[in-house]
Order: sequence, then structure tokens, then C-alpha cells
Amino acid sequence: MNTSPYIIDNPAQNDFRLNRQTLVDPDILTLEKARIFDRCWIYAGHESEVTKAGDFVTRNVAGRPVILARDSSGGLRLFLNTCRHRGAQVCRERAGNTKRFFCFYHGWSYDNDGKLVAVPGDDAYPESFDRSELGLTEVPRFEEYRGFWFACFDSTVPDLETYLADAKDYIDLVVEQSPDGRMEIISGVQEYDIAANWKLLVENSFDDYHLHSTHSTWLEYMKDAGVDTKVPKGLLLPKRGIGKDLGNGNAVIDNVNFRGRPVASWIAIYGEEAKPAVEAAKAELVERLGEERAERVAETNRNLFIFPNLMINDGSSVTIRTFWPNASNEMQVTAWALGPVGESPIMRKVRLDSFLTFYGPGGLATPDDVEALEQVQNGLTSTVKEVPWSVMTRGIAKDGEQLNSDELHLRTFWRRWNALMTGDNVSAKAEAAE
Amino acid sequence: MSDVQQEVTNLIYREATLLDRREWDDWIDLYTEDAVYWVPSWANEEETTNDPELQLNLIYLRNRGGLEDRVFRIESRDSYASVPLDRTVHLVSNVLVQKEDGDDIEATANCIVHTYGKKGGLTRGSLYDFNLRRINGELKITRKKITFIDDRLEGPIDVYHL
Repeated sequence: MNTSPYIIDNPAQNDFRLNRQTLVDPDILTLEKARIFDRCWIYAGHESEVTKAGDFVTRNVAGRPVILARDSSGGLRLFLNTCRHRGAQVCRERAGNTKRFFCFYHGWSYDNDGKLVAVPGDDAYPESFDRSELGLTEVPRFEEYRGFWFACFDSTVPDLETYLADAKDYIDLVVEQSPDGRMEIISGVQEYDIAANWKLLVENSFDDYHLHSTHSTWLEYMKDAGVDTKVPKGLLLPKRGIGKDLGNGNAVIDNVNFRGRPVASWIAIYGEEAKPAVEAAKAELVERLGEERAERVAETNRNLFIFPNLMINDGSSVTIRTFWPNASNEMQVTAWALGPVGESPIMRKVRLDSFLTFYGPGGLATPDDVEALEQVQNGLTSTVKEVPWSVMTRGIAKDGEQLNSDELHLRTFWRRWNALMTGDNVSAKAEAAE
Repeated sequence: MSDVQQEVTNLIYREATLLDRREWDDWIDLYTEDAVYWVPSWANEEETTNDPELQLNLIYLRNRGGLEDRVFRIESRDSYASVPLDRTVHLVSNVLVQKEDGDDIEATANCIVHTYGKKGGLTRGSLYDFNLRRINGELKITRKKITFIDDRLEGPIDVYHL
């Protein structure tokens, strides 16, 4: 039994409860920024977003404006987008290619390596003024795993691969669908706001318990289109949908596929004309990876959560989704589609259609999720005094494997969150006990 | 005002009215079977996605069946994003015929949609690009592109918001 104010975690008594203040209280958000977002590895971008020297994109990572840039020697850099002189942003475009980042306020400029290369009227500075010490500030830690780049503002934490732990195996499964082992962000982005606490989207993004009640119209749509929405039985890996703790708060739901996958599982919605391309993709996987691994890559889906705010949903398409809290009851969401480099136009079309059918502010499923999250937020905010705790015990009494519709993976998230927020390791012990 | 200008304006106004008054079947009937319905996303400050087949959009429906799926969703009352259904007022203006080529017409318009829903009132602005075709004497929509001026959308969107 732990003593956290945030969760009651007592696997021996089959008890796990969540204090609803964690989803409501603005002071908790302030603490989260310091104890979680400033200390964890945060997804910053994908290598494919900046392919040529001089390419850049700008965005916010852990609340900071950053420039993701391809430097003069072809490496990736992550600069804080603030002039060393007075602080204005040195790059004001969302994306592009440039030799110089130019601060329009007083005209200081920096090259792609972050070096300060021009200071108008620099004869007015004293001799001690040293340009070499005034380059763009780089984010303290910036590391990648298979094309996914992460930033960390704490220079003392373990490296990215250690942090990802067993989540690496699942990133491998995502990347292995590409014949040459490279994936790319497909041009275009979906950005939308949800009036709910960011952690509700963590839960929702890999909560299979809600599928039938929340997404019945999407399931109807699939059935009408001739898709068998019953989960198949057979010798697939895994045999059924499971939820798994991957270490360090990372978790996954690992499912047998039933709803079509552009890599290798054709459904009628894709159209007859796409069938040969889908079959060819499957054949290529078998050839390259062998029967068993190909089956694993092609015929299973995964909703992979990288703590604290990255979801890679590899199902009917591959969605990269990250989110940032504007307030305790509001988040901004950014979502991209990921596909194999060199994918044929017909496969790309199938992939994007699948993505849009389910995901995004105009999809057939995401809007119902958004509605659920906003309803939850309303309910929590207005009743937290009378109803202070939520129950999160699905599957807790089971031995061994837990289903995708259980809540082990949600507890995994919350235990890690709690450990970072309280600085104790009681949760880690509870995790081991479960 | 030319006859064509008047006819195009009437069609675009009519679409807005049918959406606001929830006359879905009549609304769908304004579209041809092969009508394309497209809401691009913003690629950067200046440009939206321009290749709906190969870039990620907000909505891209290749034919009228896609619109019918939306109406099915609304009418099922099982889509909780649409229950209760937001009330909307479309204000369409600046309707201009851009091109006439036999039975094919291109037109543009501006639209402000004021929505009232569970979170209160919300107003979004968009640019319309229409392709229209005269079929048996009647103008139908063969393509509608809706470009939001917002790059970050507040909450979800469905056809009645557009």
C-alpha cells in the first residue's frame, strides 16, 4: 500500500484508485511540467521531416519553441528558438530550408550549426564579447531511435534507449514494415485542441475497453463495408489482444488485426485495384523477414505509448500523435501519418484513407473520443469534491497476461507518473508485484 | 447579375440552408455520385496540402458515399460527437463564378459558420472552392474544397460545421 496523494495502489487487495484532482488541479499541472516534462525524453520529431542540409521545422517541445534542423554536416540538431541577444525567435516559419536563422529585431544571424555568424555593428561591443559563446542554445539531450528523435531537458537522466526499454521492440515492428527500414512522415499535419486534461488522451489512446460503446458508428461503417469486425481466432501472434508494461511507464496494447492493414491485410474498403499492391507488400515482408516475423509485423496492431506524451498507433495506418497541456483542462494535439519511404501511390492512398476514416478532428472515430474526454473532464471538474476517486482495476486480479481491454497498461502509466511526481519508488514495487 | 451567377449563388446558399436546417437527404442530393469532398490541412503558413491522394488532410471523401456515411452517423444518434447535434448558422458570401466551360463551372465563396454546442458558441471561417456541373439542366456539386483559415482546429468537425 502506498502513501501517495494521487493514487491508491494496492495490488494485494486488488485495489487501484486514482485521485481525480490529478486531472483537474492546475497546481498539479505546474508540478507535472517540472517533474515530468522537464525530466523525461519527449518526442521532438522524425528524421524524415528534415532530409536535406538546411532543412528545418519549428515546433514546441515540452513547452519550448525549438528548431529541428539538418546541420551542415548532415546531422540533426535541436535548437531553442530564441536569439542570444534579446530573446526573439530566430526562425518564424513552420518549415523550410535556409542557410541562416535571422533575428529580425537587431539582425543577429546564426548558421545551420547554430553558430553566431553576423552581428550588425559589432565594433560597439567590448573585447570580451565572444561570438563563439553566443551560438543558438541546443537542447541538453537529443537522441534518436530508428528515426524517431527525442529531446530531454535534464542532462542527468539515462540515455534514450535505456528510457525506451522494451518499447524499442515495438518501434522495431513499426519500422520493419518498410522494405528499406526507413519510415517517413507523410506531408500534412492535423492539429486540434481538446478541452480535457492531457492524461485523459494518454488513457484513451490505448484503451480498447471503450471501442464498442464509443465507436459503434465506426464499427457499423466497417461492417457495412464488408469488414469482419470480430477478432479472429487462430495461430496469430499474439493469440489475443493483450496489454503490456514495457518499462519506465511505456506500455502497449498488442492486438491481432481485424480491420485491414495497408501492409499486408487487404479489406474491401481498399478497393479491388489495391489488392495486388497489398499482396505484394505481404510477399515482400515474408521474403525479407521470414514467415513468422512477417506475420507479426503484418497481422498485428499496436497502440504504443512512450511516456509521457507520444502515441504511435500502428493499425489501419500509422499515426504519430503527441499532445501538450495548455491548462489542466485543455491540450493541443498534433498528429502525423507515417509510412514506408518509397511506398507506392496506391498504398499511400489506402494508408491515408484508413487514417482519415478513423483518426483526426474530421474522422469517424476521433470526434467521439474527443466528446468522451470533454465529457469526462466536465464530470471530474464539477464533482471532484463529492466523487474524489476513479477505479482502475480491470484485470488486476488476473495472473499472467492481461487483455487489451484490461487496465494494466493504464496503471503502468499512472504508476510511473506517480513515481515521478512523488519521488518514491513504491509504485515500482507495486508494478513488480502485479 | 448574370443568370449563371444567380444560379450558382442560389445553389451555394441552398446548400448552407439545408445544412443548417438538417435536411440531409436534400443536401446530399446536391452532389453528384462521383463528387469529391475535401478539407485540406495546412502544410505551412502559406500553403495547404495540395495533393489529397498523397498528403494528410483533415477530410477527404472520394465520392458521395463518403457523405452518406456522415449522414448515417448523424442520424444513427450513436455518434456521441453528434448527440446532441450542434446548431449551426452558415453565412455564405462573396460568391463568384471563376470559370465557365460548357456545363462545367468553377466558383468560389467565403463562409463563416457559427456553431452552438456543448461548449458554447464557436465561429470558424473558411474559403470554399466549388466545381459544379449542369446535369439535365440542373447544377450539381462535383467537388467542394473547404479551406479553414485556422490551422489548429478547436474541437472536431463534421459536414454540418463545414
